[in-house]
Amino acid sequence: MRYVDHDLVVKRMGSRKIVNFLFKGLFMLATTIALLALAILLYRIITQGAEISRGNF
Amino acid sequence: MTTISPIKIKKEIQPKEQHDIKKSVYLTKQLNLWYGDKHALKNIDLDIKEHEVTAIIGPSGCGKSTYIKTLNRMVELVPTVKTSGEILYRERNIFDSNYAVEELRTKVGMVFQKPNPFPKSIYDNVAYGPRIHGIKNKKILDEIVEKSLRGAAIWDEVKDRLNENAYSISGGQQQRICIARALAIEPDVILMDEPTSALDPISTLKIEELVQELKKDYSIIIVTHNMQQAARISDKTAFFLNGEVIEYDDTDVIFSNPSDKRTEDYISGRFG
Amino acid sequence: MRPSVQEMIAQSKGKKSKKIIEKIIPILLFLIASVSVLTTIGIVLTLIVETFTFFSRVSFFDFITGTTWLPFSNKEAQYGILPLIIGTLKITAIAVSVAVPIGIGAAIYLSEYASETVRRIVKPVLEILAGVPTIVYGFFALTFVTPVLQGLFPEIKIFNAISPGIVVGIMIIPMIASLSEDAMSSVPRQIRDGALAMGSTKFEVAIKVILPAALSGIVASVVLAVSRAIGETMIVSLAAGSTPRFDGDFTGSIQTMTSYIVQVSKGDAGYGTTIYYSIYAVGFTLFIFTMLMNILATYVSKRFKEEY
Repeated sequence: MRYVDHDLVVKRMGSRKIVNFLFKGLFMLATTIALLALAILLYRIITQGAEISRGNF
Repeated sequence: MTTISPIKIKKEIQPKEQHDIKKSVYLTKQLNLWYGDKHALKNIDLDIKEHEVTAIIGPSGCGKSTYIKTLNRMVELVPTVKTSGEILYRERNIFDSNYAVEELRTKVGMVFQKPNPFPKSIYDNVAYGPRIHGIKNKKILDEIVEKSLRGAAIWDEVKDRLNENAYSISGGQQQRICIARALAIEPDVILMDEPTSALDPISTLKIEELVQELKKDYSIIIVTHNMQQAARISDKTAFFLNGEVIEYDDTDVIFSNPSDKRTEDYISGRFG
Repeated sequence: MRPSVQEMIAQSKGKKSKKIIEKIIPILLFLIASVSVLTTIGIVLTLIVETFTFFSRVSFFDFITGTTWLPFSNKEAQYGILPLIIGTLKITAIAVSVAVPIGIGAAIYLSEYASETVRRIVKPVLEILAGVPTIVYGFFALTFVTPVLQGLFPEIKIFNAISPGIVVGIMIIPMIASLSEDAMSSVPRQIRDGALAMGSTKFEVAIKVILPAALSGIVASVVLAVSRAIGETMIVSLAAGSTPRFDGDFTGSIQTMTSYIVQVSKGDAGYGTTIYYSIYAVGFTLFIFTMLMNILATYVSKRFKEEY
């Protein structure tokens, strides 16, 4: 007797691949947010630092 | 199951010859494979029949492992891999863009060189495949686990410790758990990539006996560096050298009366 | 004739200078090691002694159950630490809810999806975040994040819990991401291959096989990050304000344990006053918190250690 219905396996494949794709996007987004936070922080440090040094000299 | 219907028709037409003309599970046509610039498989043509044990032998680096990993497309995990040619699994090209690897791999199980159970309980290891493919019913899972463990000839050894971590048992037992894990999704083909190279002689013997058992229900392709093993357990043997198939024939023929000088040299231990 | 190797070994063993070095080096190393141990003991002892002095003046029970923190009152000072603990918890809660999903998400992406090249570039870049001085983060919170938040939600005050909470979260992201990534990528490749060869998608491999296998490392990284958030000082001192409050408000000024200590240290509370001793009591409470977190991290990483 067979327990695994391979037709069903094929049918579920689509939704499983979508879930995989969505979460890949989500994990990528998390990485991007972290990098973006760093980018904004560094940008602020550099621009503000430049502004202050212009004021002083 | 559209892929199987043409085969069924064939079966009805030639019922008497069925014994002689076994159906192909894997038909490889002009397969080439490169790792970056390295040409690892060259113009491979192989016709692998169902319900047989097909052994792939050859010296290290001959491409035998690469070939078996191409059959379930695991080789593509290496980022620089490029392939050309066709591999037809049950008459469907596995490189087709609309053939999902995940689908192929539910039909084609794999057992690796080193036992690689998941760091989970024995039960969860075997139930992993059915679970990801949507089976949630505990009773059915129980039955699958028992059937698979029996199929891998390890039920009696682990039936009282199904909830123990799979790494708490011996290497040979772990390898049979991995076989049970592959059986649990009821595959059509089982690929074995040097499954006994990390095991002691007794465990090796058990796996070899098991392969003989499994042959009744599954088609088995086994890569081995051990020529005696190939001679003992396989029906057909392919000899690979430098990424080419030198000779492919019945195992008896390969080991008693090889037609190529290089095959003879290899099986008589002159190199490799 | 040349002496045999055995003879030469015997000779060199007999040398006096070598014998002395063999004895001195361990003593020297022991002394160096003791310095750090003694320093730690010294710090804890000071903390305990000063804390005891504090409790000779203020009831211990009032301290741990009091809901009003009013040390600078002219009439009757009140030392109930709960408002400060609430403040710390607010910051920690926001930081964790920012850093855990982003940190673990990034860790899964880097270890399971990203190519080797991407991982080799992104991971060290993310770790730069951990190297930015906290005072810079503090200014970042006050001069950038707070105005942005105020633009979105006008009810947020200039000093609030949300902005420093988010920034502390950003600060601990690399800690979670990097340590969790280490834990996940140390799961052997064969196990990943085994799961993929069963027809799993990468997501199923990550969630059902790798995450449980690396759980101890991931949880330990989160606990360490939490402990870092609890002890974070500069960001909250600059951007969270100094209003100890026992309520659930995140939009107005709050005070944490660390920022209270900074406030007193900056001001001129005379030596020997109750306020002076109170910073030791608060510091000791803080120490208990972070120590519990570290013990928890050690316990978790041992308890959930998967063998493979």
